[in-house]
Amino acid sequence: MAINSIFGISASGMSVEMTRVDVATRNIANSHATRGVDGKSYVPLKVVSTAIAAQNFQSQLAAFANGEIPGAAKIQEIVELNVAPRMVHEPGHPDADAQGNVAYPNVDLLTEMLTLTEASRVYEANVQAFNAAKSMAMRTLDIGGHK
Amino acid sequence: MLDSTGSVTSDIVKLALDTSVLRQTVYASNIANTSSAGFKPSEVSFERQMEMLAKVLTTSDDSQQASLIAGARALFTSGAMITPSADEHVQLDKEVAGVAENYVHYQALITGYGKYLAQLRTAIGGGQ
Repeated sequence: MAINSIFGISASGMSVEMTRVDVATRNIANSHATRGVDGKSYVPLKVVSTAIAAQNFQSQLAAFANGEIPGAAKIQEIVELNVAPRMVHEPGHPDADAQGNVAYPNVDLLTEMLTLTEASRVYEANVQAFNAAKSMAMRTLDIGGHK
Repeated sequence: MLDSTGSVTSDIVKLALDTSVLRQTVYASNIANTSSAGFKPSEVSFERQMEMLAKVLTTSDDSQQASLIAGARALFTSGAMITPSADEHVQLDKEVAGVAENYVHYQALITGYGKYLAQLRTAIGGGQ
């Protein structure tokens, strides 16, 4: 049993939650971006994460060979949300269409704020698990010590 | 009896420590995958652990004990100790509470084992 793999697992969880915060911040920051790099309005993004599954020894070996830690979390993909842009009638806007409507990114602030809060809570839980594993590893050094 | 340093106490403590580390790994994995879509939490089966220990402890035959411990060790590598949790989704509070409890358990094991080793030390020193 390697205690080291716990560090990797907790670190992967922290990294996934950090990306979630990054993406939510990006969505919030761009909630009024009417012009992206391709000339279209910004599309809100979402992080999809999965577990690196390996419950038996064989698949654990395979996962290790791929440089993955069994039981860790990883980012599957970052997808563009399939939502229609929010149309606002602003005829004077430089990005307005022929009808005078401007396509604003349909960023749901409530969802983004919830994602932010939830991600930081899960991040904290990962830190707790990491610290407990660290203390356990340190405690192992006490075996057989004079007490 | 402190008949040898390879006595059953050391083996059982090693098994228990390994179970504790495995449990910590499973908790860490559950927490890390809290927001993974479709992830079902796992747990280290307490029943399997008890079953395993009960068998080892009720035998006094040394060679049988050794094979039982080897059998228990095989449970780790095959992953049979890990069972799906009854919960559908990861419950953060439950997992973090488990982490804290497991940590205390691990500490208790190490302290207890330290006392056992201290006894050995006393015996070796002739009770001085």
